Amino acid sequence: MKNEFRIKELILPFFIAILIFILCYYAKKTLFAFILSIAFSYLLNPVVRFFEVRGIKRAYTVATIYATIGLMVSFLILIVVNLASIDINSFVNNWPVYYSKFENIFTSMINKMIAVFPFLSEFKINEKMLNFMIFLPQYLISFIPSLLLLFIIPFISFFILIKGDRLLEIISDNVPSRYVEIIYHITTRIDSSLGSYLRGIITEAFILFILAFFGLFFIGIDYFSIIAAIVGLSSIVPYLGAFMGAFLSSIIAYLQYNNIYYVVKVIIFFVLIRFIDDWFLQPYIMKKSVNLSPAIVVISLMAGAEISGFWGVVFAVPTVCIIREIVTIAMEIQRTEFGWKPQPQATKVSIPYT
Amino acid sequence: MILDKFFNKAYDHSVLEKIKFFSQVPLFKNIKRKDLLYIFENLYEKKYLKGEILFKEGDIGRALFIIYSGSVGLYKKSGNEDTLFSEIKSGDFIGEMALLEEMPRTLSAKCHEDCHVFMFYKTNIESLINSKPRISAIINYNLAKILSARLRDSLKNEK
Repeated sequence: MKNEFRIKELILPFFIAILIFILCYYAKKTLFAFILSIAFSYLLNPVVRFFEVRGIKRAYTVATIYATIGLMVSFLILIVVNLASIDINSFVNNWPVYYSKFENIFTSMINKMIAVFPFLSEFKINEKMLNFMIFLPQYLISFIPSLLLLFIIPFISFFILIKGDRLLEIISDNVPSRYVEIIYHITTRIDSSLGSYLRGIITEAFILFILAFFGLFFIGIDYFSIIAAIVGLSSIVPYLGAFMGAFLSSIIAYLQYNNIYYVVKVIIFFVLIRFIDDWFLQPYIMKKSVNLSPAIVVISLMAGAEISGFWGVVFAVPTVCIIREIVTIAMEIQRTEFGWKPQPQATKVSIPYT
Repeated sequence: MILDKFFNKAYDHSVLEKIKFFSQVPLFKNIKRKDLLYIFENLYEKKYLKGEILFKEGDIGRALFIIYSGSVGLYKKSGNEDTLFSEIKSGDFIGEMALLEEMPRTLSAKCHEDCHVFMFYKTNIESLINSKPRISAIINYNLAKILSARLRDSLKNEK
C-alpha cells in the first residue's frame, strides 16, 4: 500500500493550482511587474552570490548593492541630465526650425508621389502625419504610468534577492528526495544558458552605447548622448540597436547640415558598428552564450511583439532560451529516464586496464 | 567596537568552515582558495533527512555528491533486496562518474542519518572548461587519480 497512487493527495494541490491560475489571470498587470522583478533579481543574483560565498550575509549584500546602485544612478542621472539638458535646450530652441524643415521636405515628397500615383491623395497621408506630430507629446506622456514600474520592480526584487533560492528550496523540499538531483540539473542548465546570454547582451549593449556616444560626438551630430542611449537600450533587442541609431542619426544629420555627405558618414559609421558587433563583440562576449540562429531570433521577436508588444520583444529571446533548454532536457529525459529510446552507451574501452 | 559588532553580524562564519572542508576534499586538492570560492559559487547545497534517497541504482547520474555532514549508505540490488555495499562519511564524495558520462548509477544511495550535501553538476564542470580551464584541469586530474585508485581497488577485490 505504501507506494499506491492516492488521488486524494492531489485534490488540494489541484485546487491551489486553479486558484493561483485564476488569480494570475485577473491580476495580469501585477503578475507582469512580478515577472520583471524576477528578471531584475536574476540579473543581480550573481553579485549577491559572489559575496555570499565569501561570507557576507545576503541581507547586508543586497542593502549595500541597492545603496551603491542608488548612488551610481543619481550620479549618472546628474551627468546625463547635464549633457542631455544642453541637447534638450538646443532641441527646444531648434524644434520650430527643424519642424518646418521636416514639414517642407515631407510635403514636397508627398506631392511628388501624388503626382506620380494620383490615388495616394485619397489616403491624406500629409494630414495624418501632421496630426501625428501634433499628438506626439500626448503619445509620449501616455508612457508615464509605466515609469511607476521603475520604483515597483526594485522594491519587489529587494525581497526576492534577500530570500535567495528559497523558491527552489521549497520545490526541492516537497518532491521525493530522489528527484532533487534532476530538479537542480534543470535549473543549472537553464541558468547556464540564460545567464550567459543576459550577461553577454548587457555587456554588448553597454559597449555599443560607448561606441555610439563617442562616434557621433566626433562626427558632430546633435543630441549624440540621447541617440547613444537609445542605441544602447535598443541593442537589448538583437539587431535593433545599430538600425535605430542609423535611422535617427541620419534624420538628425540631414536636418542639421542639409547635406547628404553627413548622412552617408553616419550610415557608414553604423555599418561599422554592426561589423564590430558581428566580428568582435559577438564572438568574444557571446561565445559562451546560446547559439540561436538569426532566423529563430527574428521569429521569436515577431511572436513576442504579437503576444505582448514592447515587453514581448524584450523577453522574446530569453523565453526562447528557456523553452529550448526545457525541450532539450525533456528529450534527454525521454531517452534516458523513460527508456523510450535505447539507453546511452558507455564510452567503449578496447584496451584492458594496465 | 561598533564596526566589530557590525562585521560579526554581517559575516557568516560557517563559510570559513565550508572552505576549509572543500580544501580537504580530494577532488579539490591543490586548488587555490580564491578558485575554491569560485567553485563554491556554483555548487548546490541541500539537507536530506535520515532515510531519504539521494539516487537509485539505474537512475541517470548528473551530479557528484560531496558529503559535508552525516553518513550515506551505498546499496546494491540483489534480487528483491538491497545489500549494503559501503558507507560514506563526511568528507567523501559519491557519483563521480556522473561528471564524465550521463550513465545509469551503479548503486543506490540512502541517508543513514540527517545529511548535508553539496552537489557538483556535469554542467558546472563543462562551463569551468570554458571559463576557468586551469581549475577544470586540476579537477579533472584529481578525478582521474581518484578513478584510477578506485578501479585498482575494485580489480583487487575481484581477484
